[in-house]
Formats: sequence, C-alpha cells, structure tokens
Amino acid sequence: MALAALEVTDLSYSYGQDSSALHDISFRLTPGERVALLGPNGAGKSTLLWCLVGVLRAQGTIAVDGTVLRPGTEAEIRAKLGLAFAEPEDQLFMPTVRRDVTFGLLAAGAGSEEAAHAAEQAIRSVGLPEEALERAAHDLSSGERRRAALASILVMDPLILALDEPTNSLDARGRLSLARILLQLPCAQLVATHDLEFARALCARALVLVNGELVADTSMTALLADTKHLQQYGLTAPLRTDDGQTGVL
Amino acid sequence: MPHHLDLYVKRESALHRLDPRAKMLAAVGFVAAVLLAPTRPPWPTGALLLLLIGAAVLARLPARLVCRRMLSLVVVIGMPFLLSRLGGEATRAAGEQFAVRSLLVAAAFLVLMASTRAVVLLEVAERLPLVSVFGQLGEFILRGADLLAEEVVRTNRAWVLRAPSATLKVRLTGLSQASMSLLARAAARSERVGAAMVLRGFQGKLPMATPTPLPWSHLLAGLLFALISLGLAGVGRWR
Repeated sequence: MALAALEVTDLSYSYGQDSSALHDISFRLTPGERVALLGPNGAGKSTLLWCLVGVLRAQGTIAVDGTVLRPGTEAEIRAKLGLAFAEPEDQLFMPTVRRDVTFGLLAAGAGSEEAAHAAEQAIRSVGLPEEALERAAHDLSSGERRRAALASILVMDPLILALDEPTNSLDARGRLSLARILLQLPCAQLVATHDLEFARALCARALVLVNGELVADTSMTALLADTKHLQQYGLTAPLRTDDGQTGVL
Repeated sequence: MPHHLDLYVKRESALHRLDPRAKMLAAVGFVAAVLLAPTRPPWPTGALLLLLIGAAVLARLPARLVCRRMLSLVVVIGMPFLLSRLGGEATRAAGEQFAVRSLLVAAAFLVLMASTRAVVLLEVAERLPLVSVFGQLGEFILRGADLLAEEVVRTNRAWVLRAPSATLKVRLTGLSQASMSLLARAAARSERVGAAMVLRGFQGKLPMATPTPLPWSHLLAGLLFALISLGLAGVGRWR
C-alpha cells in the first residue's frame, strides 16, 4: 500500500471526563486526494482538525507522510499539514498581510528575499494582487481575508491542507472562486464543512462525523443520492434546479 | 484604510520619504536635547520648538490637525502644570519645566508618527535591543485595536437597531455592558491567535525580514537634525 499523506487510527478525544468529542476515528488520505469532512454543527469536525495538528492532544495515532505525531514531532507535522481556521481573522494577527504571509517562512529560518518572493507567489495563487500584501487585514473584505489567510498557509507548501468551514461568510461568487483555487492545488485536502454543495464541487470522497463518531466513509455521489442517510446524519442535500443540476457551483 | 491607532497623515514630502530609522535617530536626538535644554531662559526651548515646526512644515502637515492632536495632550499635561502653580518657587519651576518638555517631546512624536506609518515605526522598534518587546507588543495592539474597533462599531449598530430611540446615555450604558462580552471574545480569540502562531512556528519572538541598508544620505539627515537639536540645547545649558 502506498504511503498515506495522512493516516489516522483509533483517534479519540474528550473535552472533559464525561464529554467524548471524538470516538475511535480512523481514516487515511492519499497524496493529492480531496476529502470532505461532513457533519452537522457540533459533530466534532473542528475538534478533529485541531487534534490533527496537535493543538488538542488526542488518544490514538496520527501520522502525516509517515511521521507520527508525538511530543517532539509537532513542528514537522505542522510544516506538512496546514490548517485554515474557520475565522480567518484569527490567522491574520500581524499588522499587514505581508507580515502574516511571511511569518511561517521567516520563523522556519528562510531568508528575507526567499520569503518575500514566496509571499508574492502565494498571494497571487489565491487570486489577490501583490498590493494586498501591504494592506491591513481589517482593510480586506471577508473573501479577501479568507484568501489572505489561505496564502499564509500555502506559502509553507504543505503536503496536506485542512480547511475548517472554508465557505463561512462567503457569497456564491466567493465560494466559486475559493473552489477554483482549491481545485488547482496539488496538495491533499481535508475540507471540514456543512456546505454539501461546496463539498460536492471539490471532493470525490466524504467522511461523515456525527456526535464524534465516523459514521460514513463513502463517495460524495453515493452520499448525495442517499437522502435517507443524509437526513439521519443531520445533513441537507443541495437544492436541485429543474434540469437536475445543483446550485451555483 | 489605515490602522485605527495609526496617526499617519498621507503626504508627499521629504520627511515622509526619509528612512524611518533616520527619523527615529533624529527624534531620539531631539528628545535628548529637550531634556538637556533649560527652560529658563526660554530661548533654547523656543529654538527647539522652531526646529520642530520646521520639520512639521517640511512634512506638509496641516497645522489644524497638529493643533487638534496637541490639544488632547494639553489637557493631560496642563493638569499637573496647574497644580504646580499652587506650590512654591521650586515647584512652579519644576511644573513649568515638566509642561514645556512634555509638550515638546509629545509634539516631536506627533510629527514622527504623522510622517511615518505606525507599522513601519514598530518594525524599526522591534529591531532595537531594548525596546524590541514593546515593538512586538505594539504590533499586536495595533491589530487588536482594529478588531476591537470593528466589534465596537458592530455592537453599537446592534444597539441602535434594537433600540433606535435610545438616548446616548442608554447606548453608552449598553456599550459599557457589552464591553465585558467583547473582553470575553477577545480572550477566546487570543487563544486561537496563539494557536495560529504556534502552528506557523512561533518560538517566542516574531520573525523579521532582514532590514535593507540605511542609505547614507538619510542617516546624515537624521544625524544632522539630532546634532542641531543637541547643539542648541548645549549652547543654552552651558552658555
């Protein structure tokens, strides 16, 4: 079997003694694969992503490109697995976008010119002009902030990109634009969302989390066709138009 | 849109174009001169004031704006000055000295901040050994203030929509009550920001790009301003 980009085995996490947030989660992502992590609010999607980067310490095994997450390997894991937060404001903590985008590279010891060049490439790759680097985060629209935060992760050239509710506060055009950007990226992607239409446009495979348990690992097509299970999982299928197509994506 | 705490005034001027490090050097020299110069007789501080006015004119700063910004400082500095008038001769002299020096130092910083973006000044400060930590803190405060200002605007709008006929007093009360929830949200956000920093390899110090070399002409301009200031103070003190 080929080396997985991400392999999660028997992952469990509890916020307190009596509240199990994740229970025995196991799955794998192959390099370049895009997988949707679906589930209603409170299903444990964000918790799972925080566990993957070691911010929350879970039981079980997480391996990224063969490196197992344990004390001492967090930095290596985090360099390979980039996490885009649900709220991009939290990832734009410096006074200018340039400082935010170059932050990770400079922290990793990259030279100034290398970091500047990579920042310009990253900002262009998310469809923003280079001038955006000199702007303050509060000066950007919601969609631009989302893209700037994404650039601050892509600049590190991650093997896996994990996105937490990437379509939050985006309009239809913003979602379409984000989907196009993500479709062009070569890295594996784990997209945590309750936006089934966005997930369908982006991913061939879906993992469904309900109450902290992985209840389905299936193809998006099969999942969307299964109305009964969708309802059972607390998910709503995208609206269909008269010609059978779904939504704007 | 500039940062909410930024006092920068966009102008095309020689002072705006001057390297911020040279401006900082000039400002440090000026502040040292103000502290050295005697306030009696008044001509050394008067000469320093003229020098500063020259810099403000060079920066093409609108006089009304500078005066308006100075006005808020006058209240802060004026109170201890007025209190000192109640004391004896020595207290009055000290109060006078404090007022003159504080106003000049504050005015110098106003000119510096009006001609240089706050973020650029903070980056310069971040590279200086003794004030590095303040530069780093300043950068967070700058960003934090932007977020807080947005929150305050949103909270205020929510209030206005929910209670359109509320008096200013009621709205201010609501805003002060809402500030507690703003603080709670800020605390929650700081946790996520901390995580974002750690995930990007933060190890206790904000990473900085290597600075470009300071051009000689800029260094000389900054040095010249500092030396003229110190010269005036020196002549006034030892004459």
